[in-house]
Amino acid sequence: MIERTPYLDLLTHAILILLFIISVLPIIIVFIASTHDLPTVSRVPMALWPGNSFFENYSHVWNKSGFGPKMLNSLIVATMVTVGKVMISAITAFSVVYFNYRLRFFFFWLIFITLMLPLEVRIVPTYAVAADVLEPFRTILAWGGVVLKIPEINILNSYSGLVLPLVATATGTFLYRQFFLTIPDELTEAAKMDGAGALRFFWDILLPLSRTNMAALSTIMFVYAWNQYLWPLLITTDPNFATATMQLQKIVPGPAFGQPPVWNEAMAATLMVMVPPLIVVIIMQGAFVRGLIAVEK
Amino acid sequence: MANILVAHLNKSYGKNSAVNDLNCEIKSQEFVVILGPSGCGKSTFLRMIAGLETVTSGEIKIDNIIVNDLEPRERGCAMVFQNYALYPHMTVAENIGYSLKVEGINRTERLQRIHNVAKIIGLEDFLDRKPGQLSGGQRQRVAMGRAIIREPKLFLFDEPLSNLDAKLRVQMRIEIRKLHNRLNATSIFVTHDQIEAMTLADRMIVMNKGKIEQIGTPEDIYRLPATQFVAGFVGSPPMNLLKATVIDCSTVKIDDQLIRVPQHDVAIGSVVIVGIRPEHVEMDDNAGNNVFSIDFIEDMGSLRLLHGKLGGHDFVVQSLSGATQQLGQFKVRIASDKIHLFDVATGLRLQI
Repeated sequence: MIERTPYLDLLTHAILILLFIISVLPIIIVFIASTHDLPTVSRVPMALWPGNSFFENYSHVWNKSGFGPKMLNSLIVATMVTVGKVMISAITAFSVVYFNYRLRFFFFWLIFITLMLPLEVRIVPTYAVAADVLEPFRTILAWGGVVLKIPEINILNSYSGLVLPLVATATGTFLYRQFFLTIPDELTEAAKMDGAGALRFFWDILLPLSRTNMAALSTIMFVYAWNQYLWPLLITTDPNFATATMQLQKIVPGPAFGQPPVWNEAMAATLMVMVPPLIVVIIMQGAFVRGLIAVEK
Repeated sequence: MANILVAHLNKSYGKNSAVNDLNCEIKSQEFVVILGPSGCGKSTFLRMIAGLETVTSGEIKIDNIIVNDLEPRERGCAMVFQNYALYPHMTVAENIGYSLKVEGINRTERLQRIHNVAKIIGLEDFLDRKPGQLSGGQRQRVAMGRAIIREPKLFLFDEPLSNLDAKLRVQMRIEIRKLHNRLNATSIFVTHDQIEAMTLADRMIVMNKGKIEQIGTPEDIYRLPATQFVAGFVGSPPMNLLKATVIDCSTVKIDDQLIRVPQHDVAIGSVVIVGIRPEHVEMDDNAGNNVFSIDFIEDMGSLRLLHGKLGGHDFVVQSLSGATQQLGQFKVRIASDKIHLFDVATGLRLQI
C-alpha cells in the first residue's frame, strides 16, 4: 500500500519515538545508576549523567558477588532447555501429525492441555515429582494392588531438576504441529516413493524445512528459561546450582541486616543478567520473525 | 519393463466406494493412459499401484508378484506428481539424486547418474538451483528426472501436465512420450484431458464413477465407444447424444427427423440414444435429408463449429473453415454408417 500522507507520517513517527523513549528510559536509568558509587546513587535526586565507577561496580559484582558461576549455570540451564525443547517438540509433533495410531487424539489433547497449565499452576505437584521421580509410578502400581520396592530418585539441586520441568510443555509441539500441517502431502508421498522411511523423511526433509521454526522456538525458549525465577528458587538450595536471576535477589537487600541496598551494584548485576538473552534475540531476530509469521514457499 | 495385472480391485473409504472391481492387464513397455472426469477414482487407482493407498480388496501384481502389501520403495515404480512435489530446500541435483542417497549409493556414482539424467531432461545448467528459482516447465522436468534416475520398472504419472500452460503442456506431452520410447519403460499416466490421453496412449482405460468403462487403443475408443459415457467423454467437440424412437431395423426418429442408422435388433417403438459425431455431419443442400438450424458459429481457425438445433435438440456440426456459413436453416447429410446406438437404461452400445 503506497500513500502520501506527510502529516500522518509525522504523527506516527512522533508516537513511535515517544513510546521508544518511554520504554528505553528505565534501562538508561539503570545503566546510569550502575556507573556511580553508592553515595551518589543514594542521593535524591539521582544524577542523570553516567559516573566513573563503571568498572569498579561491574568487576565487584562479577568477582565478589559470584555472578560468574551463576551466569554459567543460567547459560547451561537455558541451553539445555532450548535444545531439549526443540528436539522433543519436533519429534512429538512429528508423531502427532504423521502417524495414524489409535490414541493419537488422546495424546494430542494430553499434550495440548498442558498449554493451559503453566509451570506456576502445577508447581506443587511438579515439586513433588522432582523430589521423588518415580513416585507417580509407585502410586499407580499401588492402585493396582502391586507393591514394588522402587528406588527413590530425586532431582532437587541438579541440572536435570532445573531443566526437565521446563522442557515438558506443549508450546513447541504446537508450533511444530501447525507448521507440519502446512507441508503438502505430496512431499511426504514423494519421499515415500524415493524410498525414504519415516525417520529419514523427518531428518532429511522435515527438519531442514522447519529451520526458521526452530530458530523462533529456540529464541523463545532461551529467554523463557533464562528468566525463570520461581522454579529455580524452589528447587535449588545448594548455591552451586543457583542461577543468575536467583543471585540478583540476593544482592538487593544490603550486605548486612538494616543497611540500605547497594543499588549501584544491583543495577550493574541486572544489566549483566540482561545481556545474554539480548544477544540471542539480536542474533536470531531475522529468523525469529520469519518463523512466526510466514511459511517458506 | 513390467507387466501389471489388476484383479477385482476395490477401494472404499468407509461406506463410500472410490474404486469398484477393476480388472485390467498392462503389458510390458506399454503406455497406458487412465482417462476420466475428476472424482472417478483414476488417481486412487494409480496411487494403489504406487503403494500410497491401501487396497480394500482384490490384488495388484507387478511382474507376477502380488504387491498389495509391499512398501512403495519395494515395488520398483517411480511417480511424477501433479504439483511436482520437489523438496524446496534441496538443489535440483539433490532433488534428482535423493532416492540414490537413500539407497546408499556412493557420491561419485550418484553424481555421475545425476549428470546423465540432467542431460536427458536438459537441465545440466540448473543443477545448483533451488526449485523455487525454476519455471513451471523446468520443475516438471526435475520431477521427471527424479523418476528416471531410479531406472524404475514402472512410471506413474498423476496428472503431471495440468499445472502447465497450454503451449508447454503440448511440448511436455511430446517429451514424455519420447522419453517413454527411449527408456523402454512401462508407463501409466492419469489425466482428465482427453487430447492428452488420445495422443499419448498405446491403450486407454476410460473410467467413470469408480468403474472401468472401456479399455482399448485410442482409435478403438474413438471409433467404437462401448458406452454412452465414453462416447460423450472422448472426442472434442463431444459427440451429439440424442434420444430417439426406433421406427424400423435401420431407421430412428428424433422428433420430426427420420435418421438412417446401422442395422440393429432393438424392438420397434422403443427409445434409444443416438450418438452422432459433429464431423460426421455434412452441409448438403441437395442430398441432405435432415434439417439443421444454426444459431451460433464458433470459428476455431482450422475448422468451424456450428451450434444449433436438430429436431428441437441441441446439436453441433463441424465444418471446414473455408465454406461461408450463415445462421438459419440448412439441409444436412448424416453419415449413417458412423452413427452409434446406446441403450437408454444401461448406456451400453447396442449394435455389433
